[in-house]
Amino acid sequence: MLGVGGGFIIVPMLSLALHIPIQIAIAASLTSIVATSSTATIAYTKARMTNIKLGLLLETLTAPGAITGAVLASFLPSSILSLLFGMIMIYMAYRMTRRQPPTTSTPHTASPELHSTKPTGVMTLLEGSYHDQNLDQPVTYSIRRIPLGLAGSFVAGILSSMLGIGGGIVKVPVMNTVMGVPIKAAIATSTFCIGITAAIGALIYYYNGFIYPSIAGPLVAGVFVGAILGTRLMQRLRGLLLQRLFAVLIFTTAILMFLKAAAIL
Amino acid sequence: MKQSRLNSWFNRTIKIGLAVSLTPIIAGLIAASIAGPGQAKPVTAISQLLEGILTLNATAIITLGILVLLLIPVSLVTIAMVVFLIDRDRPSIAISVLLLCFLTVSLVLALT
Repeated sequence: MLGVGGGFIIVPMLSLALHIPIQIAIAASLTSIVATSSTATIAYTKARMTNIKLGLLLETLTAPGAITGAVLASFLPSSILSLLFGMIMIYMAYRMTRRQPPTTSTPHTASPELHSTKPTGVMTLLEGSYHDQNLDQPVTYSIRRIPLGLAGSFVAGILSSMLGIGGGIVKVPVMNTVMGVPIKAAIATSTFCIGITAAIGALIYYYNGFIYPSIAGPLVAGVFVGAILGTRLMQRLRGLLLQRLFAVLIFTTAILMFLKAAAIL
Repeated sequence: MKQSRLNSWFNRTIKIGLAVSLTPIIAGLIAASIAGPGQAKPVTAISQLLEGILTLNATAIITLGILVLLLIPVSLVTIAMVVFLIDRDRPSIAISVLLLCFLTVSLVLALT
């Protein structure tokens, strides 16, 4: 429903509540994220909410980010990164609660300061539109600040490999607050993106023998049903409510990151 | 409409992919629950996987479904590239080729 894949719930549930070794829990979680992403992308592409071109563009920087994160992990303490990440997330949460989603928007632009520049070149290729079920009207939008969005996607890759968090928690606010993508399109595009990243990660875990069919199998079947319900709910909810729900989610994640940095978690 | 063609190809691919992956996963889970607790260790060697499927081993059947599932997102990137090639959308072709290269490099670096 929020475009983050649910890994932040599945991993603690499997490792802390069911005492499953962390690598097996992460492998099962990544597999279930692929199932969630694929199931949700059916509904989102049908509703034309997923901006496929934007998703592919952002993913080109997530993969190098993940490699960079793996390298950085060897000499940068994760506590420093957790602290930095927590601070950025609190700022993002603050911005998301302040911004208004589109109400009558054709075209939609995210914030007043962005109205001044018209999209050109690659930006026009990345424009998107969809029918908002809640507003019962079409929403058309342009993409802004592509370099900043790409930088955010790179950071998402670094964080996902260094801290074991899904890139969606970074990508959704970056797309929404920085690039001017309406929250529903940002969630749908992030859902598509996390499937690609999770699939690569899961294939590596599979190769190393961490995907246990007895754990991943039932999880996939369960999230399949959950993803269908989540996507239906997301399409019917108001954009503002989704933004606030996401702000609560990233605020909670930021607090967990601070606790991790302080070695409490 | 180019965008609608991409959306409909994606939609079709995921539906087929999910059907092909969920069928063995669910069938394997049913078979495993009937057979009771047994060997549940992961099957990673392809020869072992094929042998397991031929002997209707529940673990191997679920693993097959999971592998098909994991290939869905990668196949979507490939399909996007094909659609962009048909549409002669050069910037998007470049993006999808670049992404496929990065994904391959990430996979190779992680596995070696």
